[in-house]
Amino acid sequence: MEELYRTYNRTIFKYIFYLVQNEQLAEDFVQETFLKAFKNRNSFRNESSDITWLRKIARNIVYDYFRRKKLISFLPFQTKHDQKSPDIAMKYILENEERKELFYALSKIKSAYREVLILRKIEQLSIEETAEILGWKIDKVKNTQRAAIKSLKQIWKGAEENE
Amino acid sequence: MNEEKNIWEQLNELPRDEGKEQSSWNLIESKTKNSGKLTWLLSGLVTVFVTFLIVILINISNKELLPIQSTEHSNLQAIYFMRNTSFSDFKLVHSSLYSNVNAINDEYVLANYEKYINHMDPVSPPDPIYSTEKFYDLSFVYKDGSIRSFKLLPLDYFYDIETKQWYYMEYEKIQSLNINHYALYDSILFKGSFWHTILIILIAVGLNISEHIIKRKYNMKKIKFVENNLFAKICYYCLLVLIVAMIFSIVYFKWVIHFAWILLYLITIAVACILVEKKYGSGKPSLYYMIISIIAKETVLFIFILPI
Repeated sequence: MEELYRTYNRTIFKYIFYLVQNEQLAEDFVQETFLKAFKNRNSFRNESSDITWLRKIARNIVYDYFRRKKLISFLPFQTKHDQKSPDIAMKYILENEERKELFYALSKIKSAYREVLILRKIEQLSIEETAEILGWKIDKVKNTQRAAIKSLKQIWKGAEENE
Repeated sequence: MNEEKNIWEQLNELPRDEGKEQSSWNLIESKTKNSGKLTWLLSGLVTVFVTFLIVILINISNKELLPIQSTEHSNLQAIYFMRNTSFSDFKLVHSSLYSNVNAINDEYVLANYEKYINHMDPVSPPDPIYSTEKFYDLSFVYKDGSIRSFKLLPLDYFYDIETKQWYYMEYEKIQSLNINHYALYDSILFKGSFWHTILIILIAVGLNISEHIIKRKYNMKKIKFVENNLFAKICYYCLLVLIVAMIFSIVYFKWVIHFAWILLYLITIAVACILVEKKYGSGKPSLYYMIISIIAKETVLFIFILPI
């Protein structure tokens, strides 16, 4: 169990952090991901690699959170999740202007676009791996990635320059 | 293109806080070992608290609504009383759903009291100066809806609030009328309740056990509330002072307040404390312990102001 955590917790943290864009929340969801994984270890049939399986669990947790957030968005007493002074990950993003711009640009695009860019561009996964994690067909991954980059270009001028 | 690749790669090299990485692992490890224990403990305590409130409220309501079967017959519906009042004030209400108000519904005691007040003799004001003494406020509510209210100077002189007349009954007359004098005063004297004591001990033990479990679960030496923020600390202690001040005032100044308002007040303070802890506290362990301890402490305080 510990080995699995030590090997993959950073990858999972990174994936969740870019999806939810909140360090504390990402930390909580990492814990939840591994807790779920350990709880359901017996039902894991090794059809995919450990990291793909963990990413799928993390993705479900994050999307559950998005759904809950959307569901209760009309409540007047909601508070933003605790984001005190920036911690290590957020500091790393904020200390470089270009990173900061890209990070904020990612927060502005559709979550499906963001997810494809996280997996394909940041984590450098193959189209096949991305398709497996997202449960999409390969063509859909390709098309969404194209649309995601187009959308990013409209928000982040760096995308144009870097193409 | 090269620069773009670099910026994406930079994002891929996101650092991870090693301290948090380790503490997350500790948490996952302890949760997989003791999963469910804390949830059970929390829900157990909440259930005990809610059950206790329901039982108490049903008990109090039943005392008011259901006549007690007895061989004695009385025209009295109930007697309501307050202890340790001053001569100048009469704040008694005719319901035991209020703080400091107690009720007598026992038919035997009611019948004896009725006989007693029907045969009391008018007398001149007792000596020494009665205004400095502590009184009992008593209201006799009859089945036909009429009410007679008295100030009782312990333990024999009655003062009728409406007619301003003092009454007294000689011991020989009490004997000749076959009135159970002891039963009358026993019914209004303060007696500690066995069940309240047991409940308070159980809550204290429960609180200790829950603190122990949380500390072990989260590898903590001590649980501190709102430790990192002075403003939050001040807020927290102000809220605690508000609770103690209200309970003290109710007991000392004999405030007559409906229990629903007291409950609402305690719940509001509890929610405020929990919100302060949630916003400024150091994480889940202290928040859990805050919820448990605030429920336990408020239950104990509530027990203190319940009529015994």
